[in-house]
Amino acid sequence: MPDERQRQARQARPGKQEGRRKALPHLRSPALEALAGGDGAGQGQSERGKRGQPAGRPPRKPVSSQAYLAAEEQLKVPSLARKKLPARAVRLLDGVLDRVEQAEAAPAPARPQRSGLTAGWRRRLLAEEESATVTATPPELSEEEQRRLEELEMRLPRVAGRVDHWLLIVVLALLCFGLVMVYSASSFISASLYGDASYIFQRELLWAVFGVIAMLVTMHIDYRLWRRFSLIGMLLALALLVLVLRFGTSAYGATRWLTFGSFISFQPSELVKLVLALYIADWLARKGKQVRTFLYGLAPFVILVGVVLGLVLLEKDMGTAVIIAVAATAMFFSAGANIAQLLLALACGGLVFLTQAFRGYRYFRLLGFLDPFRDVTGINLQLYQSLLALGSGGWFGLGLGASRQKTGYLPLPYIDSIFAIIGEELGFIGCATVMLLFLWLAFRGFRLARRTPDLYGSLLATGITTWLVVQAMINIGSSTASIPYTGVPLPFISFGGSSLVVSMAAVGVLLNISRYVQEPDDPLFSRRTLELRLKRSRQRAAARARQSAS
Amino acid sequence: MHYASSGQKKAPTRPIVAARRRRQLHPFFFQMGPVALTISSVLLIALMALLYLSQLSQALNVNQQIQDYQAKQAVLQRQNQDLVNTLAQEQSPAYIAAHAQAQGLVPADPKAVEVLEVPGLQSVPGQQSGVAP
Amino acid sequence: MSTEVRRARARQMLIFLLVCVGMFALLGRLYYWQIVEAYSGHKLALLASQEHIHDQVLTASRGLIYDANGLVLATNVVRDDVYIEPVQFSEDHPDDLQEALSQTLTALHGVLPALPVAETRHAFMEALSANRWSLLIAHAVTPQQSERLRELALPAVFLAPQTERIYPQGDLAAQVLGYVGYIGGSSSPQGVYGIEAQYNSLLAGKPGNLTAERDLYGNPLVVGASSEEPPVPGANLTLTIDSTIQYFVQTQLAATVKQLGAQGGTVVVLDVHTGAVVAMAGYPDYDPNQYGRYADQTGCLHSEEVYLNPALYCAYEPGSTLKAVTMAAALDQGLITPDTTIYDRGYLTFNDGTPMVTNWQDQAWGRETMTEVLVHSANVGAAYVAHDLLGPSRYYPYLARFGFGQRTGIDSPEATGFYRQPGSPGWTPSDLARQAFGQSILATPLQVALAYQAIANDGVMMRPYLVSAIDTNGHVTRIQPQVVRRVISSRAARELTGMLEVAAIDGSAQRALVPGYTVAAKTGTATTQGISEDQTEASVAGFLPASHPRFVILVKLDRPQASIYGGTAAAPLWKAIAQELMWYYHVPPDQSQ
Repeated sequence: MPDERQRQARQARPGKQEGRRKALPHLRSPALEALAGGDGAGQGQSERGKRGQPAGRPPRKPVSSQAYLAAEEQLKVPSLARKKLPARAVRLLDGVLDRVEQAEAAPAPARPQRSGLTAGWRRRLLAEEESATVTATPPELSEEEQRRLEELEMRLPRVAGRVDHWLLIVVLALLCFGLVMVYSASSFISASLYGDASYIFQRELLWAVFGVIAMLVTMHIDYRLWRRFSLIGMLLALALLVLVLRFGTSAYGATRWLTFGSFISFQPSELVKLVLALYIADWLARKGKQVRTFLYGLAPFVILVGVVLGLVLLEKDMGTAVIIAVAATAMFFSAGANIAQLLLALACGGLVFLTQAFRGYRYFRLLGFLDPFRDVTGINLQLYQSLLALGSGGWFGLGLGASRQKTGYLPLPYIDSIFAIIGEELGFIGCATVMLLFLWLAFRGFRLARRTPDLYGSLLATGITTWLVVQAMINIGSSTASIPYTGVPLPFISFGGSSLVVSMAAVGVLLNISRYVQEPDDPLFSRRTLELRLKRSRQRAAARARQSAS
Repeated sequence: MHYASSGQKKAPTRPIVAARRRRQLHPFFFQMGPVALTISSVLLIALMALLYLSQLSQALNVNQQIQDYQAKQAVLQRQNQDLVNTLAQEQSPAYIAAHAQAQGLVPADPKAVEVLEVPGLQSVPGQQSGVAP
Repeated sequence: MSTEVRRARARQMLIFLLVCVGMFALLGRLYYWQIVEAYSGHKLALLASQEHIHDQVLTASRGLIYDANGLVLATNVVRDDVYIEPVQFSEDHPDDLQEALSQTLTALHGVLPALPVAETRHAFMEALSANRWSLLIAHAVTPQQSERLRELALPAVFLAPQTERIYPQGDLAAQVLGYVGYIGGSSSPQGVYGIEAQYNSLLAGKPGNLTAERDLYGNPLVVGASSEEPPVPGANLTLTIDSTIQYFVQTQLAATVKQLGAQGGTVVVLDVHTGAVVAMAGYPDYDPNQYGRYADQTGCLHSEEVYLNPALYCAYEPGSTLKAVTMAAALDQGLITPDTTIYDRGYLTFNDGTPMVTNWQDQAWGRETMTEVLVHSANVGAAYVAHDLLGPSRYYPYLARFGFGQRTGIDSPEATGFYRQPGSPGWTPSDLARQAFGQSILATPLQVALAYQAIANDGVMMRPYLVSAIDTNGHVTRIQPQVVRRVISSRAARELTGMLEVAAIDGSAQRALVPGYTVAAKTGTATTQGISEDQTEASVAGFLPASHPRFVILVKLDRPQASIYGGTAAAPLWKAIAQELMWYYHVPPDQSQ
């Protein structure tokens, strides 16, 4: 009878059915597998992708695919609710459930735990919650199977869910904030240089439009696609870096730009951040357990990151180098590095940094940083004017557009020192709003990283979020004399086409990752989890009390 | 969806969680979800800020123009003063006398002047010739 | 797989916590700078305000001075001073300082031919060793030179504009106008001598003030707070001086002085009915555009600086021109008429110890009318009228009423002259006798001219004035002629005018007669305090046309050598001036020729 219905349904909606079937894996519920024969479950899992039935089994049609559809979209399908299984199936099911429970009670159940779509949902429905473990113990698969599973995973087409709207809102808010502040901060200089106060703002608006387009594009590209092209991208980015060293144009004291024509200038070091995040996430995800080793984990990583850092440092771009180092380290750390090795590597890197970083003019910058009020017309000009801008702001600022430091006192008010202008015009409230927006971005980004089912996505989310937030922190730090001055722009807010477009593309990748996020069984702060934890801790305390009593 | 229970304690008591209907907010007469509302609020606030700034930027443009004009005015004022000076120099009796002499003119001999009295002569209005103190 | 994922999740939580800690640390630092340090500690808000807000003094432009026809006598121009920056220059050229300096100096010399290259180089090296930031190398260059220097755009050389007072007509009416300079270390220019000094507060205006938030280049911001006090520009003055007449007078005076070998001269021309000063010239004079060069020159017989207006300061013994005043007094008292006769023996003795008064060259004229006393310029007659007829009680009040010994009230600093009178120490009746013919009384030329103006104006003395209109920002105040007092009766004035006419025709002022016009004039030849007989101050005072007087003219020459008498030295000049006046003002002749 299910067949009949299925066939009828198939005939009713042929195209959609076909498409859906092509999109959907031909899943078999482990419970139904058990119904069919019981022991070939593990085998069946590994051959999940194959259509058709394993040999030797009586042909069983799966439960109506509509049921799976329904489950996926979590729609209440009345027909299913009215449906009743035949009594024999019910009895079998009950038996199966008993066995499932037993299997759960056993320390190592036979089948790997899949969350969400497959066995878990039904189990969740039917099982007693109190006896359910919060986290299921993972099954043991052979290395070979694991690897093949992963490759399979990477190739499986899947349906994208909804974008994380809070992340989108935060980024949009930062972007709009940035546009408004660039307009305000650049109006005076624009008016005096070009005769039109909105000239620089118009260019920023153009780049913002491109950025939004980039974000929308990357939002719809499945992030696993980038794994295939990450190596090529990396090589291209390195080539661009070398090109910039040879043919780059210099401005503001650094040679970072490639110019095409008179208006389009492009900073390869910004692109390198995104490409490096993609590549390192892919590399680390492929490495798997080898990350813990020195020979196959730490050393190649250090060499890889070191090469990129070297190229970036040759451009005299210390800030970008620091960001790349921090983001790569964060990815490495969350990929499962050996803490001891990592700390050692960090210590060495720190030493190298301390000895090499403060050469030449950077030494003077350090000296200036130590006392911001010394040599205010020379080394510390930008820092001192930033502090004056911040100090003039107070709680609520002077009002939008009313900054006085931007009228020539603060150099480049719309690029590196835009945070100081925010402080002057919108006060402490405005600055705190920006910082809280970045913090919220970090929160949503890391939340995303923790919920991503695959390691590559998780690492990618970590890398991108770390990059964006650390860049913001470095810029804010150098404006507030917490860090010696670096030339790092504030993401989304500072003027700068390449920075904006690349950051927006990175956010698009994040949003795309967020589409495949699955709610974990135990979200950290959900009420259920907390209740469960509370209950379990009480149980453990009761058990200990009983033990001590007895 | 639930199976027919055979009285076991595992009988499901929980139905399938229906899809959560997204809360619809009804601000005024719009029907928007909270996400769309937040996004449009952010965009509108940014737009208002931009409009305000565009007014300020017009003031800045005018400021720039004023400064350009003031610079030009200073230059023109200098030139004007120089010209007044030059004019006064060239209208001075010393200059006229020197140039007249250079061209060979001599001061008129009063003896050669014949004064003709015209009774009832009225001067042409607007034409000044020798202003009495 | 999931172990790694799980470990990753835990570590990601750790990274997030680190990020949170960092952000809150930055928030704290931000709070520190924005709230704590804003008004205490380093006082950032105050520092920022100090950086932005500047006071700027807006200088007021000095008022212009016009002549009676609207010609500009004094105006302002902006001239650049050329500075060089030694410290900046040495920083720009650390290696080739001398070469670069030579190049720059050569370039500068090409534009400013008057620049002394060697001295400038020396001054530059001195300033460099003294670590000075700027050195003045040229003052007030011409506009063309400014333009060329701007085009050259030499590094470390800049032009600083300065407002200068300029007198486009050169030395015309220089002593009347005065000049403008920085005296007593004051920061703003002040008028010195003459009109510039007398009306300095009106001419200078009031500087304004602009306190505003400024951008880096000092331009006030539109969006910032600002308070402005606009400067009050100086008032423009219109003088009563007529440039054409003044020029004529000055050139003729200079020619006459040179021709006669005199040491100086003064001419005063007044309008009879209003008292306005039409021309006032002195010799020697100076060029107010370069007043510094004349600091050691003197005028008025080397007794005063050349800057002082001799018409107002050079008091002299008027000589016979004062006989008219004596006659005026007697006529007004009714003691004499023009036909009253005396017997002139050529000398006059007194019984109160006054020394004898004699005529010029002891000439005796026999019986003569009062008119003839003036014609012959007989000292005896004058002394008799003053001493015997009038007496001190009636004579001295007339001297006072004629304005001698007092300020005339002209709007310019002036001297008062001096004469002894009963009550002042050292007076003897001999003073009275001698003052009758203009000795032992010191009067400024203006006072003498004013006396004749009173006579010409039917006995009414007008206050002399130089400024006829004051234009403060479009609001024009016209100075009205002011009556000082009635000095003598109208009848006496007319009688005296008749006497003076005859004196001009028949007496020593014949060379002052202008064909076609009736002239009333009197010569004066005063020996300077009796030093020597041929060092005189020759003068002619008079007015024309006598029938309806228009102008009073006084001509005085200091110690002419070629001819020493008023009638011979000063009279031709007086005639020339009178003729020019008649012609220029289209005064119809009142005498058929």
